Amino acid sequence: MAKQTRDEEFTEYVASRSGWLRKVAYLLCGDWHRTDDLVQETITKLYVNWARVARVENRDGYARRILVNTFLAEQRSPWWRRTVRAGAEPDTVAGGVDLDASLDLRRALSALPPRQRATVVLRYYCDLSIEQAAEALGCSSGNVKSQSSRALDALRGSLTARPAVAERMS
Amino acid sequence: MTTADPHDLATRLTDLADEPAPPAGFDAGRSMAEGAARLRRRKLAVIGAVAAATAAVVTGGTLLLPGNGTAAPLRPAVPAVATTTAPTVTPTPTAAPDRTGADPLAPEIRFGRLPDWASGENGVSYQTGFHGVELLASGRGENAPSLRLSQFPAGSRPPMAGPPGSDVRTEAAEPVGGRTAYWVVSDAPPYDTPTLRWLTPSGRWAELSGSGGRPADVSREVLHDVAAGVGYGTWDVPLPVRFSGLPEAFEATNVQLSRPGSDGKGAWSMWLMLQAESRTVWFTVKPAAPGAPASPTGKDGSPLTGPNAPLCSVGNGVQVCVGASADLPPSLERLGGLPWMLAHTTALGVDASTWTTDVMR
Repeated sequence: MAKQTRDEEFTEYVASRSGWLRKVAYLLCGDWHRTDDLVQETITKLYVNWARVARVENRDGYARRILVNTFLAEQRSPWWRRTVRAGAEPDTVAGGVDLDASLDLRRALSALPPRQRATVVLRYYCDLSIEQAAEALGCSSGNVKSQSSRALDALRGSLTARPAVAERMS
Repeated sequence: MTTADPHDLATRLTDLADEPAPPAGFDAGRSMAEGAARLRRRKLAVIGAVAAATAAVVTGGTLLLPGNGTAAPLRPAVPAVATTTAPTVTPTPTAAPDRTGADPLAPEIRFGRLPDWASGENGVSYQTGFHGVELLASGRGENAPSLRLSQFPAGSRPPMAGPPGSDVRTEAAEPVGGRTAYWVVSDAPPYDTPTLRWLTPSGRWAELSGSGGRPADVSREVLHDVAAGVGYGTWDVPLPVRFSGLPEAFEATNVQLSRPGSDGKGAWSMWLMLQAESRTVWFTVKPAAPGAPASPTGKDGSPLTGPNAPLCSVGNGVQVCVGASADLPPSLERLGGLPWMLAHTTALGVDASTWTTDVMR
């Protein structure tokens, strides 16, 4: 009873993968409130298309593609352009982490254009190949290469060396 | 990152993603409700002006008059259809009442007669939730015949949309219970199998479709006879668990009782979703299988590792698992979270004769 198993499969999938989706979404947007909005919209789209999702082999890839496209579409929307806080600091959550390094990376990521940022997250956090990233972004491999190259140049210029890295290099 | 060191960048990204996060603000239940609404809107959008005109003609009855040139099947006796051992069919009520009762699975429509190949009431699956109500009576084995029964919301017209380019049309049918009925005919899914629609006593449309088996198993005659036996009015379907001490805010929004089980293995399974304070908690209940993992896994065997990984227990031969898609309802958190919920859930047994309609106390 395909319809009967949809809700069960969907909640099971969300229970299993929402933590991962939330991390990817956070790296994309750098704001926990927007992260949850992104995840909510992504899993809603997943639910709407669940008949198709249930047939694909790589559900995570499908979900990741929806997430990235939702993020990019949001950047293009007039609503987002009106409400984005220019120069706003990314929000932080207290915890036993290297806050300086964390803020450093978040600032550097937030300075990247959305597609470059998405490329960085897909290539270096999700560990996708150039071809896989191109599929997720709906663009050519050459485009991913150029976006990656520009993003790395920008990050190289804006990120400070971590102490451990600096020590390793000295 | 003073060099373009991808490894260092990957490590930094992982560290950032693993930072402590605030409580999650999303919820699977909200997505299901919103997703179901989008699907309904999408269907309505596809119907379009042509289908609306068709529906207007249908409701006016002009297409449905027997003898108007379209195929109106005769209605011979159908020996293969037998009365089931299901509870007595409720006489036709005039409206679907609102329910606040103890049984979260209380459909407003039910099979009254089923063919011999079905397993009677104990072979009927149910789903209630954001998509409405759907019942499925299945035979056994590969390509088993099945009958799917559903009822459309009050005031809504059934869609007449098929895949792009497909031709979906209506043909006259003999009235069901003296009320307007028609067949939906198409050469493309989902209407390429016999599908009958009719007006119920409350004015809502019902739909019955057949699939699988031999053509004779789900013929128009069989469908018409089963439709004529359908009962209307809320009735409580017995379920294999009982919840006790639930906070009042908890409401069952979706229930599925699958026979055979949704994984295709056991005789039955139940899935139920509760919502409170915009948060969702779900249960899976099924006969405990020897050697089954103590905790539920994904269909591919992978562990479920969300923020509130499911907890399971076994009692009376039944496995009960409870989980959440994101954070728990605060009222449940205060009571003790998923362990409390599991401790207040009683599995009644594998045999349906031990089940109850007094589910939520």
